[in-house]
Amino acid sequence: MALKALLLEAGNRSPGVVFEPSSGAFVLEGRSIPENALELYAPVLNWTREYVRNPAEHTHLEFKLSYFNSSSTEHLLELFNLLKTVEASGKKFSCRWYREADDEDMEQIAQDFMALVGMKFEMFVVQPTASEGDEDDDL
Amino acid sequence: MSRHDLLNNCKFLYVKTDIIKFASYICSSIPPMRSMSFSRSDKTRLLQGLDAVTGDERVVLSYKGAVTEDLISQILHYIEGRFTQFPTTARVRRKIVSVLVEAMQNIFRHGPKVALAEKAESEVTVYRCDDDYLVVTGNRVESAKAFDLKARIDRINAMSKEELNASYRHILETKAKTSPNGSGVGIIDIARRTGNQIEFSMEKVEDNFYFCSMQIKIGA
Repeated sequence: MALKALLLEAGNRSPGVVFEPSSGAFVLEGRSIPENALELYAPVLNWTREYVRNPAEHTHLEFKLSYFNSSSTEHLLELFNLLKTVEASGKKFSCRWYREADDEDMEQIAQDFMALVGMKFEMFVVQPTASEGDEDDDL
Repeated sequence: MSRHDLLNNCKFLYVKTDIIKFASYICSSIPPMRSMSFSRSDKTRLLQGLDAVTGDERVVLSYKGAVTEDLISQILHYIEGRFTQFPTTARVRRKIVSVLVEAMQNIFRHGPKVALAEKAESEVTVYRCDDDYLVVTGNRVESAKAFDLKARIDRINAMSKEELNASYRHILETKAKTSPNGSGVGIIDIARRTGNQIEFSMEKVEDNFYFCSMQIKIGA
């Protein structure tokens, strides 16, 4: 039975998720600051475990989170580690990691993830949003 | 201004906040500077626009009450509105937001899990001192956890930038999956983002509880 796409709308504390299993096009965006990150990520990771059993030829993740808290970090890392396992069956996994031009903290975290997962991401630097101070920037 | 002066200045402010809070509380009929969606009660009150009340522009945000998950979103929404009133770079704003999230979630995690509102009462204050910001949190913590927290902060304060990065990676690599509510990189995350030492103090308030305070400086 074909796996259905995983679609989660972004909330105040949770990211938007669009994972398309047939094309392998994955997007994470918004921000992730739940206190109980396990509750948020368990369904995402369970879906991904199912997906990597029969993945698309090329899985590509557009990683557009503007900010995530430390309790989200380990679950996001697990997501990367799971997606990396598609390589064992000769499939491809790539990631484009977005960060704002002056966000050196996000650059550091991307470096940590690359070291921990054992792969290179394409770093995509975006200019900070023009609507400076608009609280709806990242929603 | 040296870091020492800054902290002294802000410690003075910290002592003063109770008075400011009281002044603001009794003046709460003054319309807020910005429309808010806070539900106000005696236990939970966010005191807004303190500079309008006290003339003290250094207090950006002051909250006293229970720290709940919902409050974190409300505080972020509030402070993002306040940022429009100061010349603050996006870089510093991001750091303040991440420090607030980690510091408040640290309270959420280590505070007493009791229903008594009095015991859950915590404080979050953000000061602006010239171009620097100071995030100050205070909450009751059980004795054993308070000493653990102090030991952890002491260890983190003693680490170089490289050691912090190595420790961050090590914890993520080894401790992931072992704790349901985060792997304990929150305070390291704060230290990495600010590049400053975390000031920590603890004061015994009753038999098994300490009032723990963290002061975190975010430089421009």
